[in-house]
Amino acid sequence: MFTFAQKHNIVQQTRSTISGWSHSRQSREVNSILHLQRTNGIQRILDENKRKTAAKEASIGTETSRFDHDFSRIPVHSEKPFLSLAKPSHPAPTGSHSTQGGSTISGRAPGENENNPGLIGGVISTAAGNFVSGIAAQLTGIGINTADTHAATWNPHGAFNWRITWNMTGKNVGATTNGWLVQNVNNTYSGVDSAGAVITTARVGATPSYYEAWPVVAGAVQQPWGGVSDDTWGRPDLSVWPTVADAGTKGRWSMTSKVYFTTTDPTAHGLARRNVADAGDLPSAVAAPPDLGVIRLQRYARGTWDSTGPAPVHTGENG
Amino acid sequence: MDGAVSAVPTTSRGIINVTLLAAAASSVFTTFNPGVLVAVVNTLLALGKYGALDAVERRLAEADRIADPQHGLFLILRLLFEVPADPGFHPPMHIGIPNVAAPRDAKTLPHFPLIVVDDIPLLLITTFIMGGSPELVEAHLKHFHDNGTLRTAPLTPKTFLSPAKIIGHLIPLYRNAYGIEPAPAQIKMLEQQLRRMQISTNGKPGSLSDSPS
Repeated sequence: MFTFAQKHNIVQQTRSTISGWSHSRQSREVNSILHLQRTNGIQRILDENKRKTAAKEASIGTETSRFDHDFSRIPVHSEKPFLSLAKPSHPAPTGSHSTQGGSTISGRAPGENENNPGLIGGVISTAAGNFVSGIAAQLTGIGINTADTHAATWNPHGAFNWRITWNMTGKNVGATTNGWLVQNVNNTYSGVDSAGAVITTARVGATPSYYEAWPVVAGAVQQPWGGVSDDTWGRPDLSVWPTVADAGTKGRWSMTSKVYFTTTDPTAHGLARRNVADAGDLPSAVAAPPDLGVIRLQRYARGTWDSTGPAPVHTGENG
Repeated sequence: MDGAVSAVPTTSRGIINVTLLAAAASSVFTTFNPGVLVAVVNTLLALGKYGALDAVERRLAEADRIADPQHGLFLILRLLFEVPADPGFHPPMHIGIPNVAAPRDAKTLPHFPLIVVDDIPLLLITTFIMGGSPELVEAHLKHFHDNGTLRTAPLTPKTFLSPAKIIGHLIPLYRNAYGIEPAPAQIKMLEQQLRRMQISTNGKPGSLSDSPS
């Protein structure tokens, strides 16, 4: 009989959902039923608590009126950077990083779109946006933050990797907090290859803007199909990426996101598993689901790469 | 080239070298070594379908998946099982490969992102576009549990061929899949993978199967 010649160092994380398959030969039908039961269970909890949460939000609306602002109606963050300073007035929320510690590209990269936010303005916008979002979170009692599970790394030829896990925070987050965390991710690429052809978001294959969702059950963000809540941001090595495949490119990329909490099930409004390749296995869609409410958190990651010199350089920042 | 990669498990008891299995399960694809993948697949093959799936499941259970999601297990599974006649390719891995980076017709590279040439699995995609959560390996484990047929024979990589010869055999497959020749940087990456296999074989890092204790 097969023996596994290693002691099992079990860590707190996903246990396989198929334990005992090899012994019980659990059928597909049984698994489907289990999945449906789980899904229906989550939805039932959401339905039962939607009324309570709505009542709570209504109460919060009364509370916010004391400040002469209705945060459920007034956007707390402009869609465009509302601070357009040439230099940051304070350090970026997190450090800058460099794979070589060398030069960066100055000015606008070839092919760069005017809508591509500059690094500094974007950082300030995100920081200021999160300040406002923090106020909103305080007023509503529901906030969102993250913890790194894999620190961001910038590798040659535009490659990047960063993983976080989600946390719900705030005085109103508890056992009855059920709903969905929705993230709107925006991607840009602007660069040029060694033949002078532009590198765009479409050429690389990133989706310019999309929405993705994680269920929130009893105040905890979950993976829809099991496991720990996880959000991975990755950019490929363009030197070997099929649509670029060039070791002499340079340019800029950016990822930004706005994060929401909603009690309106986005999977009933267009978000479906694997709709958007960038979202992996999450329910996702290009169109926004309804009732997103205020922005609870803003995130960003950016990189500037230059592989035209003797050694490839890739610098960037995230937060 | 001598020192061929172990193509047949050295013990019918199938006691696995967990270090090698852990290496093959790693999600760090930029240092992909085809020899490790071949060795693991061939030993798992000797365990039979449910023994092999059990070993993969155990690996998932014991690994720190916060530190590493174990995406190398996707590659093990799609090499361990025969490509079904219908649809003619293995299920896609939803870990951040957009359509533009995949072959136009999935049947042209049925193991994608692996491309198998001379019984050597080479990895075409080593980094990904992701802004979300990658698919769990469990989804493919279930798929192969329900639908998979183990490959009929172990892999017998033609490691006696030169890397240039192997790449020469790969190019028509790539051209058929993508409509263009692989770029020099891609060929260099694939040659590096072949070199890692050569080094690990000749350097004798340990065979897949340990001696029974």
